[in-house]
Amino acid sequence: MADATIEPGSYRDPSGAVYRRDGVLLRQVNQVFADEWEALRASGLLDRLTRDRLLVTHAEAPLEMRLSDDAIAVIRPEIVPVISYPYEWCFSQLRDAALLTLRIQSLALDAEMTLKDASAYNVQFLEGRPILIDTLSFERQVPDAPWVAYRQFCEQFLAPLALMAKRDVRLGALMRSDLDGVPLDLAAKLLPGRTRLDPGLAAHIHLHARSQRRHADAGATATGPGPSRRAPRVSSTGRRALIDNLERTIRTLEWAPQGTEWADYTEHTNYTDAGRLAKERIVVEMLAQAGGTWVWDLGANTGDFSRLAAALDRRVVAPDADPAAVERHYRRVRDAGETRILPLLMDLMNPSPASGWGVQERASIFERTNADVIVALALIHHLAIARNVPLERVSALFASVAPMAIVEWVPKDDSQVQRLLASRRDIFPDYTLDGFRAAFGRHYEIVRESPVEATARSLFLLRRQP
Amino acid sequence: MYLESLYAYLDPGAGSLIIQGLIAAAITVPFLLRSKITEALRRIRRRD
Repeated sequence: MADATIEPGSYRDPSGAVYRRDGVLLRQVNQVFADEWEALRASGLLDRLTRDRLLVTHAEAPLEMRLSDDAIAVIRPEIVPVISYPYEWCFSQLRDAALLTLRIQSLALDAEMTLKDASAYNVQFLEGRPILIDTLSFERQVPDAPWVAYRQFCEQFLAPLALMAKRDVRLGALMRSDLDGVPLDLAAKLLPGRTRLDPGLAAHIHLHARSQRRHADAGATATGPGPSRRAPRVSSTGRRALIDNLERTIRTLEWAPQGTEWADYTEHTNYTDAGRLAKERIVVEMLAQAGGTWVWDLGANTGDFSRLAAALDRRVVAPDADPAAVERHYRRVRDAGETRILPLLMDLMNPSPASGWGVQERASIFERTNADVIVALALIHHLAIARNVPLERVSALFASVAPMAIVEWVPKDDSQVQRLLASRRDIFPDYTLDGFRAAFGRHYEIVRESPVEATARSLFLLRRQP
Repeated sequence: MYLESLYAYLDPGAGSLIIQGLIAAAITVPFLLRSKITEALRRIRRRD
């Protein structure tokens, strides 16, 4: 049998490991988790969660596919085609993921089970909705026991959401610097003082942080060291009240995407109606010509062109660097029940790096791309002029990601480029149409070049050189 | 209730457990009251 490759992020939970064998994603259930696994299967919870699309489905796999001898079962989880991380989500994506986690915990309590962790990384977006991907996240509820994942929930969901809603939405990026979430003492310091008057935030963040500080050196001074360390009792009603209270607290957190430069970008372009229609027609033709399944619409803004690709039944990943634009896009996707588009928050100038243990636990965005086609519309001038990236480097990056590309050339005399040059010296002598052709010609062959009528812009369909 | 009886591969944190117990104790009665009132209103609306 082929060697197995363990997923780098799968090492914390001794219940089982995620690995690939012959390219197939598998999950082993370890002996130590045998009783919990049987209880979970007998509880009916898995059926309920998978039926409601709250948890990925799984199929049983032969035990011969196991990773090690302490396996008692092997499962084959449903595949999530694009893995994204919490720091790549907009406010509402993280909020929806938090509410999903609480909903699942509530259903688990109904089945006398409980979530033993509440990691935001256990949630992914599949077919437009958040879904739990960790089938082994459950254990039997011990009578009167507190929720062991409470702290993790507060650090990975509540604290970043509160900071984004009450201080600045860009503080969601703190999730990138600490994979365990936002430390509560830091959240308490950064939140405005008035949040101490909000009962939910006062309890779950401010008092919680103070309690952590007070008991930091005491181990579980909950009541002393050693085998007699006690945890506080929490009744079944208390557990439900806690989940209800967390849900109410999360639901009160709101963020209205204000009109940032980018979120309103499509309202302030220099396209006439005729130019815009012509551009849409050419992009649709080029998408059809490019083929493939997965389109990465770089700088997607609020997703006008992502929707055109989705209408051709493409699956679309739609990154943008502006939190307000991604927020608006996600809400449009969610409210329309669109299942083929995944908006993500990502700055192409500083994309998600590999991180965590051994710099492997979380993969970089480019290790997770599956793009057949890159679409880069009204983007090239922002990279080349506003951010000084040479066109050849843009071309090299695109070519490393996808075999096909649709790129819009925006000439220097375009009003949008002139705006970028208004307050700086023009140090871009190579930023010309010929320069563009030469730079992209190093990595691509030009399949089609189409001027966009009523504009000075052109669209290029490019195929990566073999 | 002993910590060892919780099968937690995460460190739930002593301070987090304590505050959780206190919060749960404080919100249980209001939660129960609200649940009862909500249920009663639902029954009344159903009867109408």
